[in-house]
Amino acid sequence: MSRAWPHVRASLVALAILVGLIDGCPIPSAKSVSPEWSDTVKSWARARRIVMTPFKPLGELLRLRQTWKLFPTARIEQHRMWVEARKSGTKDDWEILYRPHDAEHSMWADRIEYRRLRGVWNPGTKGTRSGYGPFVEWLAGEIFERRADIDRVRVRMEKIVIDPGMGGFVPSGMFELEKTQGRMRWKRQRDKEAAAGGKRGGS
Amino acid sequence: MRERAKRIWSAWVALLDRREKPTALVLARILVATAVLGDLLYAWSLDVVVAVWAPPPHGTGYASIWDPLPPFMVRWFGPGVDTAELVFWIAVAAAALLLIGAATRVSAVVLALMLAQLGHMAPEGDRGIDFLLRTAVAILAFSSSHARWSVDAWLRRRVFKRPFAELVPAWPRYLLFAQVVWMYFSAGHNKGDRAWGPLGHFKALANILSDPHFARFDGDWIPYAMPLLAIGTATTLLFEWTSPLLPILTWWHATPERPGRLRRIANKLRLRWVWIGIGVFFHIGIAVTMRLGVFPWGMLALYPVLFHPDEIARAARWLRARVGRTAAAVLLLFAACGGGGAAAPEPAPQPAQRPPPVDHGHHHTALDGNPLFANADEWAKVFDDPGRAAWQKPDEVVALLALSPGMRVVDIGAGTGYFLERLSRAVGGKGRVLATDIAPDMVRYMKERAAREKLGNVEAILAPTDDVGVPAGSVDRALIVDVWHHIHQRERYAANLARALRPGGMVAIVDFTLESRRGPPRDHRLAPDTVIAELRAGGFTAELASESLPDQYVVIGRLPGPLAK
Repeated sequence: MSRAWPHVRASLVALAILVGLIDGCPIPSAKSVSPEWSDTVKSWARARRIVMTPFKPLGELLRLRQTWKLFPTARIEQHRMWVEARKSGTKDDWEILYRPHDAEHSMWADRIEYRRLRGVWNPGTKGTRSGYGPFVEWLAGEIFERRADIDRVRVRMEKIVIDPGMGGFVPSGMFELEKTQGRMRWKRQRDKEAAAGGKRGGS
Repeated sequence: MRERAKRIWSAWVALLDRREKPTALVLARILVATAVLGDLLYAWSLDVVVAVWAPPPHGTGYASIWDPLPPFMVRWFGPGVDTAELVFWIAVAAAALLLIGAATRVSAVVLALMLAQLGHMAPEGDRGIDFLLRTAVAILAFSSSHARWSVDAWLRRRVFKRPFAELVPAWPRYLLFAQVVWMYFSAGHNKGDRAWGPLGHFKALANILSDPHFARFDGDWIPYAMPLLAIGTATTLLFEWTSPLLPILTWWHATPERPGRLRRIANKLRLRWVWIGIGVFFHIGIAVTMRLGVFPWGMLALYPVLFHPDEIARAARWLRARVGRTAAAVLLLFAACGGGGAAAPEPAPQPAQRPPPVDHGHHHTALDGNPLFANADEWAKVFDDPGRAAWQKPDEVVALLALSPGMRVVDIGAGTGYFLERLSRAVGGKGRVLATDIAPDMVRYMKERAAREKLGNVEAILAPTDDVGVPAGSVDRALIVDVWHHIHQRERYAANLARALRPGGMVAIVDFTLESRRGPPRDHRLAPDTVIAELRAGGFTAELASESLPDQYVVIGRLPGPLAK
C-alpha cells in the first residue's frame, strides 16, 4: 500500500484538476455563436454534461464549481434601488427610506447592502432575480414592525446611466421592477403564521 | 514516447510526494477560517441571518430551484427559520474550531458541508467568493494545516506526546495554488464586456466604481482618475490572463541555478513578485473603494499558499528581528493576507542569519556567509580542538561513508578541514577529496593545511551559497557535518546534491540532536525526520544510521544506481 499510495494520490489529484478544468472550460452558449458553430458547441456542452455526471453528486453536496466571474460585465445601463414608505391615511405621500449613496435616506443601509442580500435584490443582466419578491416582503415586514405609521412599502429600481466622465451616474427618473407590500396583507400573513404556531423572522 | 510519459508521470508523483513545513497551510487555515467566521458573524450582527437563509415570508431564501431534492438539512429538519439558524450556527461553530485548529479535519468537513447547505438555501446570495472559500476549506480538510498553531498540535505535543512531523505533505498547498491560478484565469476569460477591452476604452473599473450599488464613495473623483482607472482595467485583465504564468514564475524563482534566458530575465525583473504585488494591490484597492464584503479579504486569505514555507519563515525572521516576536506574528498574519508581497523583503537565495554566538562549540559553517568565519586561524582553535574527537568520533563518521580507494568525496562546508586527513587516507592516492566552503579564508586555510599535511589528493574549493560547488555527477560520496541546519532551502539543496553525486552515490549528514547540550540554539536544530524528508524530497532514499555519537545523529541518503551499498 505504501508504495502504491503516491501513485494513487497523484492519480486522484490529477483527476480532480482534470474534472475542474472540464467544469470550468468556457463553452459559449449556442445562441452566442454563429449558426454553423451552434451544433458544435451544443455537442461540446453535451459531452461535458456526460463527463461530469459521475461527479455531480459531490459537486452538489459541497456546491462546488470552477467557473468564476468577477464583474464579467461593466454595463453603463444600471439601476438604483429606491425603498419608499407611505404613511397611513395618505394616498400618494411616499417617503424615501433608502437609496444607495444617499446620506439623507440611508435606513438600514448596512443590512440592505450586506453582500448576500444585495445578491438577491441587485438586478442582473437578465433583470430581477427570483429572491426579489421575497426580499420586498421581508423588508416591508421589518418596516411595518417598527413603524406603526406606515401602511405601504414600495421598492423600485430607477434606471440610471453610468457616466464616469461626469462623476458617477445620471438618473433617468424612469422606474421599473416595482413591487409593493401593504400592511393589511402582511398582518394577515402574520396572523395566519401565529395561528399555525409558526415562528416569525428575526434571528 | 512511452519513456517520456513515464518520466512525466514520475515527476508528477514526486512533486505530489514532496513535504514541507506546514506554515503556508497553517496561515491559509487561520485566514480562511477568519474570513468565513467574520462574514458569518457580520451577518449575525446585522440581524440578517433569517432574512438571508430562511424561506419566504421570513426571509429571501427559497426552494424553487432545488434540483432534484432540497439540501439534506432542509430535508431532515424542514424548511423554516429554525433550520436556517441551526445550519448557520453549526457553520459558525465549525469555522471557530477550524480557526483555532480543534478537531481540525472534522471541523473543515463540517464547515464545507454547512457552507454548501447555506449556499443551497440562499443561492442568489452565494457568490463567487463563497464558492472559493468552500473549495479552500474542503482542500484544507485533507491537509495538515493543523500541524502548527492549533489546539490539535498542542494536544498531540503536550498530552499524547506524539507531536506532528516537522514536514507535512505539500500537495494540498499546490492544489490551493492551482485553484487560485485557475480562479483568476477563469475570471479573466469570462470578462466579455467591451468595457474591459480597448474597444470599450478600458472603462470597466470606472463604470464599476460609478455604480451606486457597489461603490463605496461618490464618483466626484472619478473624472480626474480616468487615465489611471483605464490603466487599472488593462492591468486587471492582464493580471488575470497571465495567472497561468505564476506557477512557471514560481518554479523559475525556486531554481535560479538552472539555465534559460527567460528564467534569468523573469527572475531579474522579479516578475513573480510583480504579479503577486499587483494581486495584493488589486484586492486592497477593491476593499478600499468598493463594498463587496468579505470578497477581497477572502481572496487574500489564500495568498499564503503562493509562498514556499521557507519564504514565510524568512519573512517572519526578518520581522522578528525588527519588531519582536508577538508583533511579528501579528504582522505576518496581516502581511500574509494583505501585504505579503510588500511587507516581506525579497529573499535572497540563501540569506545570512544573524551571527551565531561565538561559543557555540560547533562549526557555524560559512554556508550562511557569516563574516565571523573570516579568520580561519582563530576558528581552527575551536574546530580542530583535540577534545572534539571524543564526541565527534571522526573515524566512525568516515567509516559510515563506506569509502574505498579511488572514490571522489566532497566535504561540504568543510571549514578548517577537520575531516580532510581521514577522508584523504580513505580514498587513497587515486581518489580525490573536494573540500568546499563559501568563506574564502577557510578555503585559503584548507589549501595551506593540505600542503602542510602533504594531502596531495585534496582540493579546496570556494563554493557558491546555494549549490554544492562541484560539477554534476562528479563525486561518489558527500559529507556534511554540522552544516545542514544552516541551509535554508534544503529540499532544493538536496536536489542539487543529488545532481552532484554519481548514480549510486551516498551522502552522510551529521548534525546535532534536539536534546544535545552542544550545538546551535534549539530552534536552529533539525529533527532527523526532517533531514530524512528533505533528502527524500531531493530524490534520495534516506534513513537514520546506527552510530554511537553522543550528541549527533547521522542520516544517510542514497541515490539509486550501481554504487549503492
